[in-house]
Amino acid sequence: MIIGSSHGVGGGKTETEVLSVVCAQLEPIHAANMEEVNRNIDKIIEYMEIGARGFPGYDLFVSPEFAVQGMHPIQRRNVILTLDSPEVQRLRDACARLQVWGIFSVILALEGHREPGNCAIMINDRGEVVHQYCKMNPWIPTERHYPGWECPVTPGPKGSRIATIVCADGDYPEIWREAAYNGANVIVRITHYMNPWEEAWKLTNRCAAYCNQVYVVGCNCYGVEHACAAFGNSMIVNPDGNVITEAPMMVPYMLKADLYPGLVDKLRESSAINSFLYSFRHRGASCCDLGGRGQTKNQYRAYDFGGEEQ
Amino acid sequence: MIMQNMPYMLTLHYIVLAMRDIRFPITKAELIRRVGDRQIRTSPNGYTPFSEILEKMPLDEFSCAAEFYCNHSAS
Repeated sequence: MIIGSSHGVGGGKTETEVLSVVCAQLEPIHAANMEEVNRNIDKIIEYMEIGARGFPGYDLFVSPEFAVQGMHPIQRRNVILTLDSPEVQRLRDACARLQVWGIFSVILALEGHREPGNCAIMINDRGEVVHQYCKMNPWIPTERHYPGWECPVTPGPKGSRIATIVCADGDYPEIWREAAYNGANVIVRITHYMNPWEEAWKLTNRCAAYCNQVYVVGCNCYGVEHACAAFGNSMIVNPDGNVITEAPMMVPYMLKADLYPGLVDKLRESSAINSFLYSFRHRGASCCDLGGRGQTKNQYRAYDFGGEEQ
Repeated sequence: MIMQNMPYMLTLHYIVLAMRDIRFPITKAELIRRVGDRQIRTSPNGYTPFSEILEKMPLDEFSCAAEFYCNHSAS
């Protein structure tokens, strides 16, 4: 554990539960029909069980973007799901049977919109869908999904507070900050991240972990498909930006790491310096002109748009 | 390539879940008292009382988790 390598964490004794995460790097079928969706779900459940054999007692299973439906370039509308679909029920049953939490990518119909949302859901160890996030930054111009509107954070197992983001979301620093600001101590980024952005993948995951003092679980697909190659290299990153563990490229793989969500809480509460989630809203707080509170106005032009238009 | 006809082998997962609140060292008798009535899934459709599994273990006390799980494997 190398948290605290550059500065001390005060506040006395720290106690934290241990969150055991299993991350599946797999190659989905880009499904044109529900039979193919169910084959993908068979594979996901197979990986969930392999995780339970290899890492008995693990808490949280993560699978990558498009692992359930793929992203067929033409037939994608044939396989849109709802939370009531039997395919989602299969995932709920698997979580309940294995008593693990799971994060899954599902393309869901959105009420009132022609296009579906590229969503991440979290199912608890009783088989209940407890979290739903709709990708806020679809990968335009290729991706035509309806963009999401909020970044929820949901209590997970072992003291975790989990946010999910999806693929290209992670290229935008504001979504990471939003998740951390909303209280996440673990941000799960599920992706179908492709070449030639191998270095961007590493950079964005590590940078986001450091800048937001948060664990990052990056779960990527692998496989060559109609237009590109998703390269794998799933990784789990410490809140100081160092990689805990990472998968090779272009192979099926399972990552496992033990995370300490309480340490993130402690860092944010007790670090004297580099407390980014405090300091970005209290710029210059050490300046006597600003009374020890710093500049609390938002003076960033990049974030002053919108509001009047919905 | 994932192997075909995967054996069940999920019992240990369910035992670890049942043991989440247990601290070592601990005696077998104390374990039976605290978690013996839990049902452990031991096959796709079958459950076994944890006390039955515990009673088959050769040692009467366990100094650490490794000793406990080795005993399970050995029983």
